[in-house]
Amino acid sequence: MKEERGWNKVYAFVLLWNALLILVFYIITKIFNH
Amino acid sequence: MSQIDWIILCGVLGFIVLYGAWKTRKNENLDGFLLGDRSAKWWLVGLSVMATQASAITFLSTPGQAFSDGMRFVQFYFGLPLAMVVLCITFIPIYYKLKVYTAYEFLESRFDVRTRSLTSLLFLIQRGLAAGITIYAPAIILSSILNWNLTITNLVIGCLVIIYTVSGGTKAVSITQKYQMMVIFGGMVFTFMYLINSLPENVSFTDALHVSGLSGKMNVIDLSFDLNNRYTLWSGIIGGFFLALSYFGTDQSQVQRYLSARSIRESRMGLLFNAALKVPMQFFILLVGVMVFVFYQFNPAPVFFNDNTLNIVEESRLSPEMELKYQEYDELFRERNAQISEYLLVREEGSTQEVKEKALRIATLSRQEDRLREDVRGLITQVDPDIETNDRDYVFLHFILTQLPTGLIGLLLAVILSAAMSSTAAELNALASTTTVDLYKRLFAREGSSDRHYVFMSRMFTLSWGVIAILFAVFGNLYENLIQYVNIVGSLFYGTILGIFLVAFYVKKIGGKAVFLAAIISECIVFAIFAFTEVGYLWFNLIGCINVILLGYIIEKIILSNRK
Repeated sequence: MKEERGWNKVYAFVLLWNALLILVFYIITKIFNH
Repeated sequence: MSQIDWIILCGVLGFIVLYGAWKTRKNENLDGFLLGDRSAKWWLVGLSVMATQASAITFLSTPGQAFSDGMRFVQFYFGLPLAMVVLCITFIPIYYKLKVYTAYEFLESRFDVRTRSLTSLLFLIQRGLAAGITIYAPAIILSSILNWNLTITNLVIGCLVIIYTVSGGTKAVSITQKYQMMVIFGGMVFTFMYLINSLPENVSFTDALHVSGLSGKMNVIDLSFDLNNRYTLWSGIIGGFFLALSYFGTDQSQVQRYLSARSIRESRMGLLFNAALKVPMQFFILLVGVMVFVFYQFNPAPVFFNDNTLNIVEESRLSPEMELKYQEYDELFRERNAQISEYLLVREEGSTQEVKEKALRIATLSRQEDRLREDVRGLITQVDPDIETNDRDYVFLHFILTQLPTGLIGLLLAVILSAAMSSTAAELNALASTTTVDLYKRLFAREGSSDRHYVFMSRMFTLSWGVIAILFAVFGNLYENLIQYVNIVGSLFYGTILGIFLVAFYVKKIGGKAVFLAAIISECIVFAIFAFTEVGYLWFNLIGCINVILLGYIIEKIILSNRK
Protein backbone atom coordinates (compact mmCIF):
# COMPACT_ATOMS: atom_id res chain seq x y z
CA MET A 1 0.00 0.00 0.00
CA LYS A 2 2.81 2.35 0.96
CA GLU A 3 4.67 1.44 -2.23
CA GLU A 4 1.58 2.11 -4.36
CA ARG A 5 1.25 5.56 -2.76
CA GLY A 6 4.87 6.18 -3.73
CA TRP A 7 4.09 5.20 -7.33
CA ASN A 8 1.06 7.51 -7.37
CA LYS A 9 3.39 10.39 -6.58
CA VAL A 10 5.63 9.43 -9.53
CA TYR A 11 2.61 9.20 -11.87
CA ALA A 12 1.38 12.61 -10.67
CA PHE A 13 4.84 14.07 -11.22
CA VAL A 14 5.06 12.75 -14.81
CA LEU A 15 1.58 14.02 -15.67
CA LEU A 16 2.26 17.43 -14.07
CA TRP A 17 5.55 17.66 -15.97
CA ASN A 18 3.69 17.10 -19.23
CA ALA A 19 0.98 19.60 -18.26
CA LEU A 20 3.75 22.11 -17.58
CA LEU A 21 5.26 21.39 -21.00
CA ILE A 22 1.88 22.01 -22.66
CA LEU A 23 1.62 25.32 -20.76
CA VAL A 24 5.11 26.33 -21.91
CA PHE A 25 4.21 25.37 -25.51
CA TYR A 26 1.05 27.49 -25.22
CA ILE A 27 3.11 30.48 -24.08
CA ILE A 28 5.60 29.88 -26.94
CA THR A 29 2.70 29.82 -29.43
CA LYS A 30 1.30 33.09 -28.01
CA ILE A 31 4.68 34.85 -28.13
CA PHE A 32 6.17 33.61 -31.40
CA ASN A 33 3.31 32.60 -33.70
CA HIS A 34 2.24 35.81 -35.41
CA MET B 1 29.41 11.87 -50.36
CA SER B 2 33.07 12.12 -49.31
CA GLN B 3 35.31 9.30 -48.14
CA ILE B 4 35.25 10.60 -44.54
CA ASP B 5 31.44 10.39 -44.53
CA TRP B 6 31.57 6.82 -45.81
CA ILE B 7 34.11 5.89 -43.13
CA ILE B 8 31.95 7.43 -40.36
CA LEU B 9 28.75 5.83 -41.71
CA CYS B 10 30.24 2.34 -42.13
CA GLY B 11 32.25 2.62 -38.89
CA VAL B 12 29.23 3.56 -36.74
CA LEU B 13 26.89 0.95 -38.26
CA GLY B 14 29.55 -1.76 -38.38
CA PHE B 15 30.50 -1.21 -34.74
CA ILE B 16 26.89 -1.35 -33.54
CA VAL B 17 26.04 -4.52 -35.50
CA LEU B 18 29.23 -6.43 -34.64
CA TYR B 19 29.26 -5.35 -31.00
CA GLY B 20 25.58 -6.32 -30.59
CA ALA B 21 26.12 -9.74 -32.19
CA TRP B 22 29.37 -10.47 -30.29
CA LYS B 23 28.20 -9.29 -26.87
CA THR B 24 25.05 -11.43 -26.91
CA ARG B 25 26.24 -14.51 -28.80
CA LYS B 26 25.79 -16.94 -25.85
CA ASN B 27 22.05 -17.35 -25.56
CA GLU B 28 21.02 -20.90 -24.86
CA ASN B 29 17.71 -20.55 -23.02
CA LEU B 30 14.38 -19.13 -24.15
CA ASP B 31 14.20 -16.60 -21.31
CA GLY B 32 17.56 -15.24 -22.38
CA PHE B 33 16.76 -15.13 -26.09
CA LEU B 34 13.24 -13.69 -25.89
CA LEU B 35 13.44 -11.54 -22.76
CA GLY B 36 17.18 -10.97 -22.28
CA ASP B 37 17.07 -12.95 -18.98
CA ARG B 38 14.73 -10.23 -17.66
CA SER B 39 17.78 -8.25 -16.61
CA ALA B 40 17.43 -4.82 -18.30
CA LYS B 41 17.71 -1.69 -16.17
CA TRP B 42 15.01 0.97 -16.33
CA TRP B 43 16.93 3.43 -18.47
CA LEU B 44 17.73 0.70 -21.01
CA VAL B 45 14.03 -0.21 -21.14
CA GLY B 46 13.14 3.47 -21.62
CA LEU B 47 15.67 3.95 -24.43
CA SER B 48 14.61 0.69 -26.03
CA VAL B 49 10.90 1.66 -26.02
CA MET B 50 11.83 5.03 -27.51
CA ALA B 51 14.10 3.52 -30.19
CA THR B 52 11.46 0.98 -31.20
CA GLN B 53 8.88 3.70 -31.80
CA ALA B 54 11.30 6.06 -33.59
CA SER B 55 11.78 4.67 -37.08
CA ALA B 56 13.85 6.25 -39.84
CA ILE B 57 10.74 7.97 -41.12
CA THR B 58 10.52 9.82 -37.77
CA PHE B 59 13.86 11.49 -38.47
CA LEU B 60 13.30 11.99 -42.20
CA SER B 61 9.69 13.15 -42.13
CA THR B 62 9.27 15.03 -38.85
CA PRO B 63 11.66 17.92 -39.63
CA GLY B 64 10.06 18.12 -43.10
CA GLN B 65 6.65 18.21 -41.43
CA ALA B 66 7.75 21.19 -39.30
CA PHE B 67 9.26 22.85 -42.37
CA SER B 68 5.97 22.84 -44.25
CA ASP B 69 3.31 22.58 -41.55
CA GLY B 70 4.90 24.02 -38.40
CA MET B 71 5.25 22.61 -34.89
CA ARG B 72 1.63 21.50 -34.38
CA PHE B 73 2.43 17.81 -34.97
CA VAL B 74 3.83 17.63 -31.41
CA GLN B 75 0.23 17.61 -30.10
CA PHE B 76 -0.13 14.09 -31.53
CA TYR B 77 2.02 12.85 -28.59
CA PHE B 78 0.10 14.55 -25.75
CA GLY B 79 -1.97 11.43 -24.94
CA LEU B 80 1.12 9.23 -24.63
CA PRO B 81 2.10 10.07 -21.02
CA LEU B 82 -1.42 9.32 -19.78
CA ALA B 83 -1.40 5.99 -21.65
CA MET B 84 1.94 5.14 -20.03
CA VAL B 85 0.50 5.75 -16.56
CA VAL B 86 -2.51 3.50 -17.35
CA LEU B 87 -0.11 0.79 -18.60
CA CYS B 88 1.95 1.04 -15.40
CA ILE B 89 -1.14 0.71 -13.21
CA THR B 90 -3.11 -1.96 -15.13
CA PHE B 91 -1.15 -3.85 -17.79
CA ILE B 92 2.34 -4.27 -16.30
CA PRO B 93 1.32 -5.86 -12.95
CA ILE B 94 -0.79 -8.50 -14.76
CA TYR B 95 1.91 -9.32 -17.33
CA TYR B 96 4.42 -9.72 -14.49
CA LYS B 97 2.12 -11.76 -12.28
CA LEU B 98 1.58 -14.27 -15.10
CA LYS B 99 5.29 -14.22 -16.10
CA VAL B 100 4.35 -14.07 -19.81
CA TYR B 101 6.71 -13.95 -22.78
CA THR B 102 4.14 -12.26 -25.03
CA ALA B 103 1.09 -10.09 -24.45
CA TYR B 104 -1.09 -12.74 -26.12
CA GLU B 105 -0.22 -15.40 -23.53
CA PHE B 106 -2.23 -13.37 -21.04
CA LEU B 107 -5.31 -13.81 -23.26
CA GLU B 108 -5.23 -17.58 -22.75
CA SER B 109 -5.31 -17.26 -18.98
CA ARG B 110 -8.09 -14.68 -19.21
CA PHE B 111 -10.12 -16.30 -22.06
CA ASP B 112 -8.95 -19.41 -23.92
CA VAL B 113 -6.37 -20.70 -26.39
CA ARG B 114 -8.56 -19.81 -29.42
CA THR B 115 -8.64 -16.12 -28.54
CA ARG B 116 -4.90 -16.13 -27.88
CA SER B 117 -4.13 -17.75 -31.26
CA LEU B 118 -6.54 -15.48 -33.14
CA THR B 119 -5.06 -12.31 -31.63
CA SER B 120 -1.47 -13.39 -32.22
CA LEU B 121 -2.32 -14.23 -35.84
CA LEU B 122 -3.87 -10.77 -36.34
CA PHE B 123 -0.69 -9.24 -34.89
CA LEU B 124 1.58 -11.34 -37.13
CA ILE B 125 -0.25 -10.31 -40.31
CA GLN B 126 -0.23 -6.63 -39.39
CA ARG B 127 3.32 -6.38 -38.02
CA GLY B 128 4.76 -8.70 -40.67
CA LEU B 129 3.66 -6.28 -43.39
CA ALA B 130 4.86 -3.25 -41.40
CA ALA B 131 8.38 -4.69 -40.97
CA GLY B 132 8.88 -4.56 -44.73
CA ILE B 133 7.79 -0.93 -44.79
CA THR B 134 10.19 0.03 -41.98
CA ILE B 135 13.00 -1.06 -44.31
CA TYR B 136 11.48 0.06 -47.60
CA ALA B 137 10.36 3.62 -46.66
CA PRO B 138 13.82 5.02 -45.76
CA ALA B 139 15.51 2.93 -48.48
CA ILE B 140 13.44 4.52 -51.25
CA ILE B 141 14.22 8.05 -50.01
CA LEU B 142 17.95 7.37 -49.49
CA SER B 143 18.33 5.61 -52.82
CA SER B 144 16.45 8.34 -54.64
CA ILE B 145 18.56 11.21 -53.32
CA LEU B 146 21.94 9.45 -53.04
CA ASN B 147 21.46 7.47 -56.25
CA TRP B 148 22.01 4.22 -54.36
CA ASN B 149 20.54 1.04 -55.79
CA LEU B 150 17.16 0.50 -54.10
CA THR B 151 17.41 -3.30 -53.94
CA ILE B 152 20.92 -3.17 -52.47
CA THR B 153 19.85 -0.53 -49.88
CA ASN B 154 16.95 -2.78 -48.83
CA LEU B 155 19.22 -5.81 -48.64
CA VAL B 156 21.92 -4.02 -46.62
CA ILE B 157 19.50 -2.63 -44.00
CA GLY B 158 17.66 -5.98 -43.73
CA CYS B 159 20.77 -8.18 -43.57
CA LEU B 160 22.51 -5.99 -40.94
CA VAL B 161 19.42 -6.26 -38.72
CA ILE B 162 19.13 -10.02 -39.26
CA ILE B 163 22.78 -10.61 -38.23
CA TYR B 164 22.43 -9.36 -34.67
CA THR B 165 18.74 -10.15 -34.10
CA VAL B 166 19.22 -13.83 -35.03
CA SER B 167 22.42 -14.03 -33.02
CA GLY B 168 21.46 -12.29 -29.79
CA GLY B 169 17.66 -11.94 -29.67
CA THR B 170 16.12 -9.38 -27.32
CA LYS B 171 19.39 -8.59 -25.53
CA ALA B 172 21.06 -7.72 -28.85
CA VAL B 173 18.07 -5.54 -29.77
CA SER B 174 18.31 -3.58 -26.47
CA ILE B 175 22.10 -3.24 -26.49
CA THR B 176 22.22 -2.02 -30.09
CA GLN B 177 19.28 0.32 -29.45
CA LYS B 178 21.28 1.96 -26.65
CA TYR B 179 24.07 2.88 -29.08
CA GLN B 180 21.64 3.69 -31.86
CA MET B 181 19.86 6.17 -29.59
CA MET B 182 23.21 7.73 -28.64
CA VAL B 183 24.03 8.20 -32.34
CA ILE B 184 20.53 9.56 -33.00
CA PHE B 185 20.60 12.09 -30.12
CA GLY B 186 24.20 13.10 -30.90
CA GLY B 187 23.47 13.64 -34.60
CA MET B 188 20.34 15.70 -33.97
CA VAL B 189 22.04 17.90 -31.32
CA PHE B 190 25.04 18.55 -33.64
CA THR B 191 22.67 19.48 -36.49
CA PHE B 192 20.72 21.83 -34.22
CA MET B 193 23.93 23.54 -33.06
CA TYR B 194 25.09 23.84 -36.67
CA LEU B 195 21.77 25.48 -37.61
CA ILE B 196 22.04 27.99 -34.74
CA ASN B 197 25.63 28.80 -35.74
CA SER B 198 24.67 29.35 -39.36
CA LEU B 199 22.18 32.13 -38.52
CA PRO B 200 23.35 35.56 -39.79
CA GLU B 201 25.41 37.49 -37.24
CA ASN B 202 22.71 39.98 -36.29
CA VAL B 203 20.02 37.28 -35.90
CA SER B 204 19.59 35.65 -32.47
CA PHE B 205 17.81 32.38 -31.68
CA THR B 206 14.77 34.36 -30.41
CA ASP B 207 14.75 36.38 -33.66
CA ALA B 208 14.82 33.09 -35.58
CA LEU B 209 11.73 31.86 -33.71
CA HIS B 210 9.94 35.15 -34.47
CA VAL B 211 10.87 34.84 -38.15
CA SER B 212 9.46 31.31 -38.32
CA GLY B 213 6.35 32.47 -36.44
CA LEU B 214 5.69 35.06 -39.18
CA SER B 215 4.96 32.15 -41.52
CA GLY B 216 2.87 30.37 -38.88
CA LYS B 217 5.46 27.69 -38.06
CA MET B 218 5.32 28.21 -34.27
CA ASN B 219 1.74 26.88 -34.12
CA VAL B 220 2.60 24.45 -31.29
CA ILE B 221 -0.79 24.52 -29.54
CA ASP B 222 -4.16 24.67 -31.28
CA LEU B 223 -7.11 24.93 -28.89
CA SER B 224 -9.84 24.81 -31.57
CA PHE B 225 -12.51 22.07 -31.50
CA ASP B 226 -12.48 21.60 -35.26
CA LEU B 227 -12.91 17.86 -36.04
CA ASN B 228 -11.46 18.32 -39.54
CA ASN B 229 -8.25 19.71 -38.07
CA ARG B 230 -6.00 16.68 -37.69
CA TYR B 231 -3.74 18.04 -34.93
CA THR B 232 -5.32 19.96 -32.04
CA LEU B 233 -4.75 19.79 -28.29
CA TRP B 234 -7.95 17.75 -27.92
CA SER B 235 -7.36 15.25 -30.75
CA GLY B 236 -3.81 14.83 -29.43
CA ILE B 237 -4.86 14.09 -25.86
CA ILE B 238 -7.91 11.90 -26.64
CA GLY B 239 -6.94 10.23 -29.95
CA GLY B 240 -3.27 10.03 -28.98
CA PHE B 241 -4.21 8.34 -25.70
CA PHE B 242 -6.08 5.46 -27.39
CA LEU B 243 -3.45 5.06 -30.08
CA ALA B 244 -0.61 4.95 -27.52
CA LEU B 245 -2.57 2.57 -25.26
CA SER B 246 -3.09 0.06 -28.07
CA TYR B 247 0.43 0.42 -29.46
CA PHE B 248 2.34 0.18 -26.17
CA GLY B 249 -0.09 -2.16 -24.41
CA THR B 250 -0.90 -4.77 -27.07
CA ASP B 251 1.84 -4.62 -29.72
CA GLN B 252 4.41 -7.29 -28.91
CA SER B 253 7.27 -5.20 -30.39
CA GLN B 254 6.73 -2.77 -27.48
CA VAL B 255 5.49 -5.19 -24.79
CA GLN B 256 8.65 -7.30 -25.26
CA ARG B 257 10.81 -4.24 -24.52
CA TYR B 258 9.39 -3.59 -21.07
CA LEU B 259 8.97 -7.28 -20.18
CA SER B 260 12.76 -7.59 -20.47
CA ALA B 261 13.19 -5.39 -17.36
CA ARG B 262 14.66 -6.98 -14.24
CA SER B 263 11.61 -6.14 -12.10
CA ILE B 264 8.17 -4.59 -12.24
CA ARG B 265 9.71 -1.42 -10.76
CA GLU B 266 12.31 -1.13 -13.55
CA SER B 267 9.60 -1.79 -16.13
CA ARG B 268 7.44 1.03 -14.80
CA MET B 269 10.39 3.39 -14.51
CA GLY B 270 11.32 2.64 -18.13
CA LEU B 271 7.85 3.53 -19.39
CA LEU B 272 7.67 6.65 -17.21
CA PHE B 273 11.11 7.70 -18.50
CA ASN B 274 9.56 7.54 -21.97
CA ALA B 275 6.45 9.39 -20.73
CA ALA B 276 8.62 12.24 -19.44
CA LEU B 277 10.96 12.51 -22.45
CA LYS B 278 8.85 11.65 -25.51
CA VAL B 279 7.06 15.02 -25.85
CA PRO B 280 10.23 17.16 -25.38
CA MET B 281 12.10 14.87 -27.81
CA GLN B 282 9.46 15.27 -30.53
CA PHE B 283 9.36 19.01 -29.84
CA PHE B 284 13.13 19.13 -30.35
CA ILE B 285 13.02 17.17 -33.65
CA LEU B 286 10.28 19.52 -34.91
CA LEU B 287 12.34 22.51 -33.74
CA VAL B 288 15.22 21.26 -35.90
CA GLY B 289 12.76 21.31 -38.82
CA VAL B 290 11.71 24.88 -37.97
CA MET B 291 15.38 25.91 -37.84
CA VAL B 292 15.86 24.38 -41.30
CA PHE B 293 12.94 26.58 -42.40
CA VAL B 294 14.65 29.64 -40.87
CA PHE B 295 17.92 28.63 -42.56
CA TYR B 296 16.15 28.79 -45.92
CA GLN B 297 14.76 32.23 -45.10
CA PHE B 298 18.34 33.54 -45.23
CA ASN B 299 19.69 31.12 -47.86
CA PRO B 300 18.11 30.14 -51.18
CA ALA B 301 16.08 26.92 -51.07
CA PRO B 302 15.19 24.60 -53.94
CA VAL B 303 11.63 24.99 -55.24
CA PHE B 304 11.25 21.21 -54.89
CA PHE B 305 13.43 19.10 -52.59
CA ASN B 306 13.81 15.95 -54.72
CA ASP B 307 16.46 16.85 -57.32
CA ASN B 308 15.78 13.76 -59.44
CA THR B 309 12.19 14.85 -59.96
CA LEU B 310 13.31 18.39 -60.81
CA ASN B 311 15.74 17.00 -63.40
CA ILE B 312 12.90 15.15 -65.09
CA VAL B 313 10.86 18.37 -65.40
CA GLU B 314 13.89 20.36 -66.58
CA GLU B 315 14.46 17.89 -69.39
CA SER B 316 10.81 17.88 -70.43
CA ARG B 317 8.77 20.15 -72.71
CA LEU B 318 7.86 22.24 -69.63
CA SER B 319 11.45 23.35 -69.08
CA PRO B 320 10.72 27.04 -70.05
CA GLU B 321 7.86 27.20 -67.50
CA MET B 322 10.17 25.76 -64.87
CA GLU B 323 12.79 28.39 -65.68
CA LEU B 324 10.15 31.09 -65.06
CA LYS B 325 9.38 29.56 -61.67
CA TYR B 326 13.07 29.65 -60.74
CA GLN B 327 13.22 33.36 -61.63
CA GLU B 328 10.01 34.03 -59.71
CA TYR B 329 11.49 32.29 -56.66
CA ASP B 330 14.75 34.30 -56.88
CA GLU B 331 12.81 37.58 -56.87
CA LEU B 332 10.61 36.38 -54.02
CA PHE B 333 13.61 35.26 -51.99
CA ARG B 334 15.43 38.59 -52.42
CA GLU B 335 12.39 40.62 -51.41
CA ARG B 336 11.61 38.42 -48.41
CA ASN B 337 15.21 38.53 -47.26
CA ALA B 338 15.16 42.34 -47.35
CA GLN B 339 11.80 42.46 -45.56
CA ILE B 340 13.02 40.13 -42.79
CA SER B 341 16.12 42.30 -42.22
CA GLU B 342 13.89 45.37 -41.97
CA TYR B 343 11.46 43.54 -39.68
CA LEU B 344 14.25 42.61 -37.27
CA LEU B 345 15.40 46.23 -37.31
CA VAL B 346 11.97 47.76 -36.60
CA ARG B 347 11.37 45.18 -33.87
CA GLU B 348 14.34 46.74 -32.06
CA GLU B 349 13.70 50.38 -32.76
CA GLY B 350 10.43 50.92 -34.67
CA SER B 351 6.80 51.46 -33.61
CA THR B 352 4.25 48.67 -33.12
CA GLN B 353 2.49 49.75 -36.30
CA GLU B 354 5.69 49.36 -38.33
CA VAL B 355 6.34 45.92 -36.86
CA LYS B 356 2.79 44.84 -37.77
CA GLU B 357 3.12 46.12 -41.33
CA LYS B 358 6.40 44.28 -41.89
CA ALA B 359 5.03 41.08 -40.33
CA LEU B 360 2.00 41.25 -42.64
CA ARG B 361 4.19 41.75 -45.69
CA ILE B 362 6.41 38.77 -44.81
CA ALA B 363 3.35 36.57 -44.19
CA THR B 364 2.03 37.55 -47.65
CA LEU B 365 5.39 36.70 -49.26
CA SER B 366 5.40 33.38 -47.43
CA ARG B 367 1.96 32.56 -48.88
CA GLN B 368 3.23 33.52 -52.33
CA GLU B 369 6.09 31.06 -51.90
CA ASP B 370 3.61 28.33 -50.91
CA ARG B 371 1.63 29.04 -54.08
CA LEU B 372 4.81 28.92 -56.16
CA ARG B 373 5.69 25.52 -54.72
CA GLU B 374 2.14 24.39 -55.49
CA ASP B 375 2.61 25.54 -59.13
CA VAL B 376 5.85 23.56 -59.36
CA ARG B 377 4.01 20.46 -58.11
CA GLY B 378 1.40 21.12 -60.81
CA LEU B 379 4.14 21.22 -63.48
CA ILE B 380 5.55 17.92 -62.18
CA THR B 381 2.12 16.29 -62.44
CA GLN B 382 1.74 17.62 -65.99
CA VAL B 383 5.01 15.96 -66.98
CA ASP B 384 4.19 12.64 -65.31
CA PRO B 385 1.02 12.18 -63.24
CA ASP B 386 2.57 9.16 -61.48
CA ILE B 387 5.50 11.06 -59.90
CA GLU B 388 5.22 11.71 -56.14
CA THR B 389 4.71 15.45 -55.65
CA ASN B 390 4.97 15.47 -51.86
CA ASP B 391 8.56 16.44 -51.10
CA ARG B 392 8.23 16.73 -47.29
CA ASP B 393 10.23 13.55 -46.67
CA TYR B 394 13.10 14.92 -48.78
CA VAL B 395 13.50 18.34 -47.06
CA PHE B 396 15.75 17.24 -44.20
CA LEU B 397 17.84 14.79 -46.24
CA HIS B 398 18.37 17.43 -48.93
CA PHE B 399 19.49 19.90 -46.25
CA ILE B 400 21.87 17.31 -44.74
CA LEU B 401 23.50 16.48 -48.06
CA THR B 402 23.80 20.02 -49.43
CA GLN B 403 24.49 22.12 -46.34
CA LEU B 404 26.14 20.08 -43.59
CA PRO B 405 29.96 19.84 -43.41
CA THR B 406 31.86 16.65 -44.23
CA GLY B 407 31.72 14.20 -41.36
CA LEU B 408 28.36 15.40 -40.10
CA ILE B 409 26.75 14.07 -43.31
CA GLY B 410 28.06 10.56 -42.52
CA LEU B 411 26.87 10.86 -38.92
CA LEU B 412 23.37 11.98 -39.95
CA LEU B 413 23.03 9.14 -42.46
CA ALA B 414 24.08 6.82 -39.62
CA VAL B 415 21.25 8.40 -37.55
CA ILE B 416 18.68 7.58 -40.23
CA LEU B 417 19.92 4.02 -40.82
CA SER B 418 20.25 3.41 -37.06
CA ALA B 419 16.64 4.42 -36.59
CA ALA B 420 15.56 2.12 -39.44
CA MET B 421 17.49 -0.76 -37.91
CA SER B 422 16.36 -0.21 -34.31
CA SER B 423 12.66 -0.41 -35.13
CA THR B 424 13.05 -3.24 -37.66
CA ALA B 425 15.05 -5.30 -35.13
CA ALA B 426 12.37 -4.90 -32.46
CA GLU B 427 9.71 -5.92 -34.98
CA LEU B 428 11.54 -9.06 -36.14
CA ASN B 429 12.24 -9.97 -32.52
CA ALA B 430 8.54 -9.59 -31.62
CA LEU B 431 7.35 -11.50 -34.69
CA ALA B 432 9.70 -14.39 -33.85
CA SER B 433 8.63 -14.42 -30.16
CA THR B 434 4.93 -14.52 -31.04
CA THR B 435 5.43 -17.23 -33.68
CA THR B 436 7.51 -19.34 -31.28
CA VAL B 437 5.58 -18.89 -28.03
CA ASP B 438 1.98 -18.37 -29.13
CA LEU B 439 1.82 -20.65 -32.15
CA TYR B 440 4.72 -23.12 -32.39
CA LYS B 441 5.29 -23.93 -28.70
CA ARG B 442 1.60 -23.84 -27.78
CA LEU B 443 0.07 -25.63 -30.76
CA PHE B 444 2.65 -27.61 -32.73
CA ALA B 445 5.73 -28.53 -30.68
CA ARG B 446 6.20 -31.91 -29.03
CA GLU B 447 5.80 -31.85 -25.27
CA GLY B 448 9.03 -31.82 -23.32
CA SER B 449 11.09 -30.18 -26.08
CA SER B 450 14.20 -28.55 -24.67
CA ASP B 451 14.83 -24.83 -24.25
CA ARG B 452 17.68 -25.19 -26.76
CA HIS B 453 15.20 -26.41 -29.37
CA TYR B 454 12.94 -23.39 -28.79
CA VAL B 455 15.89 -20.98 -29.00
CA PHE B 456 16.88 -22.62 -32.29
CA MET B 457 13.31 -22.27 -33.59
CA SER B 458 13.17 -18.62 -32.42
CA ARG B 459 16.36 -17.95 -34.39
CA MET B 460 14.87 -19.65 -37.46
CA PHE B 461 11.64 -17.64 -37.14
CA THR B 462 13.62 -14.39 -36.75
CA LEU B 463 15.54 -15.27 -39.92
CA SER B 464 12.35 -16.18 -41.79
CA TRP B 465 10.55 -12.99 -40.80
CA GLY B 466 13.66 -11.02 -41.76
CA VAL B 467 13.68 -12.62 -45.22
CA ILE B 468 9.93 -11.96 -45.62
CA ALA B 469 10.46 -8.30 -44.60
CA ILE B 470 13.32 -7.90 -47.11
CA LEU B 471 11.32 -9.56 -49.90
CA PHE B 472 8.38 -7.30 -49.14
CA ALA B 473 10.70 -4.27 -49.19
CA VAL B 474 12.41 -5.35 -52.44
CA PHE B 475 9.17 -6.06 -54.30
CA GLY B 476 7.29 -3.24 -52.53
CA ASN B 477 7.98 -0.77 -55.33
CA LEU B 478 5.79 -2.87 -57.61
CA TYR B 479 2.73 -1.58 -55.80
CA GLU B 480 1.55 2.00 -55.80
CA ASN B 481 1.00 3.84 -52.56
CA LEU B 482 2.47 1.06 -50.52
CA ILE B 483 2.66 2.95 -47.24
CA GLN B 484 -0.98 3.86 -47.37
CA TYR B 485 -1.82 0.28 -48.28
CA VAL B 486 0.01 -1.05 -45.23
CA ASN B 487 -1.56 1.58 -42.97
CA ILE B 488 -4.96 0.44 -44.17
CA VAL B 489 -4.10 -3.22 -43.54
CA GLY B 490 -2.86 -2.26 -40.05
CA SER B 491 -6.05 -0.36 -39.24
CA LEU B 492 -8.13 -3.35 -40.36
CA PHE B 493 -6.77 -5.37 -37.42
CA TYR B 494 -5.61 -2.92 -34.75
CA GLY B 495 -9.12 -1.99 -33.49
CA THR B 496 -10.13 -5.62 -32.97
CA ILE B 497 -6.89 -6.41 -31.10
CA LEU B 498 -7.35 -3.42 -28.79
CA GLY B 499 -11.01 -4.38 -28.24
CA ILE B 500 -9.99 -7.91 -27.14
CA PHE B 501 -7.42 -6.53 -24.68
CA LEU B 502 -9.78 -3.88 -23.26
CA VAL B 503 -12.42 -6.58 -22.63
CA ALA B 504 -9.72 -8.75 -21.03
CA PHE B 505 -8.62 -6.03 -18.64
CA TYR B 506 -11.80 -4.11 -17.85
CA VAL B 507 -14.96 -6.16 -18.66
CA LYS B 508 -14.73 -9.19 -16.42
CA LYS B 509 -18.29 -10.36 -17.26
CA ILE B 510 -17.39 -11.25 -20.86
CA GLY B 511 -15.89 -14.72 -21.32
CA GLY B 512 -13.68 -16.41 -23.93
CA LYS B 513 -16.41 -17.77 -26.23
CA ALA B 514 -18.18 -14.41 -26.46
CA VAL B 515 -15.04 -12.37 -27.11
CA PHE B 516 -13.82 -14.87 -29.76
CA LEU B 517 -17.12 -14.69 -31.66
CA ALA B 518 -17.24 -10.89 -31.21
CA ALA B 519 -13.72 -10.55 -32.62
CA ILE B 520 -14.56 -12.65 -35.71
CA ILE B 521 -17.81 -10.73 -36.36
CA SER B 522 -16.05 -7.40 -35.71
CA GLU B 523 -13.32 -8.28 -38.21
CA CYS B 524 -15.99 -9.17 -40.82
CA ILE B 525 -17.80 -5.87 -40.19
CA VAL B 526 -14.54 -3.90 -40.55
CA PHE B 527 -13.77 -5.73 -43.83
CA ALA B 528 -17.32 -5.03 -45.08
CA ILE B 529 -17.01 -1.33 -44.23
CA PHE B 530 -13.64 -1.27 -46.01
CA ALA B 531 -15.04 -2.99 -49.10
CA PHE B 532 -18.41 -1.28 -49.48
CA THR B 533 -18.13 2.23 -47.95
CA GLU B 534 -15.89 5.28 -48.18
CA VAL B 535 -15.23 5.56 -44.41
CA GLY B 536 -11.67 6.83 -43.70
CA TYR B 537 -9.39 3.98 -42.61
CA LEU B 538 -8.33 5.64 -39.33
CA TRP B 539 -11.90 5.13 -38.10
CA PHE B 540 -11.53 1.33 -38.49
CA ASN B 541 -9.50 1.34 -35.24
CA LEU B 542 -12.35 2.82 -33.25
CA ILE B 543 -15.07 0.80 -35.02
CA GLY B 544 -13.22 -2.51 -34.51
CA CYS B 545 -12.58 -1.78 -30.84
CA ILE B 546 -16.16 -0.73 -29.99
CA ASN B 547 -17.58 -3.66 -32.01
CA VAL B 548 -15.65 -6.23 -29.95
CA ILE B 549 -16.78 -4.69 -26.64
CA LEU B 550 -20.46 -4.25 -27.59
CA LEU B 551 -20.84 -7.53 -29.49
CA GLY B 552 -18.96 -9.39 -26.76
CA TYR B 553 -21.38 -8.01 -24.19
CA ILE B 554 -24.47 -8.81 -26.29
CA ILE B 555 -23.31 -12.37 -27.07
CA GLU B 556 -22.41 -13.05 -23.43
CA LYS B 557 -25.54 -11.52 -21.89
CA ILE B 558 -28.25 -12.43 -24.38
CA ILE B 559 -27.19 -15.51 -26.34
CA LEU B 560 -24.91 -17.45 -24.04
CA SER B 561 -26.76 -16.75 -20.77
CA ASN B 562 -30.11 -17.77 -22.41
CA ARG B 563 -28.55 -21.08 -23.42
CA LYS B 564 -27.36 -21.68 -19.91
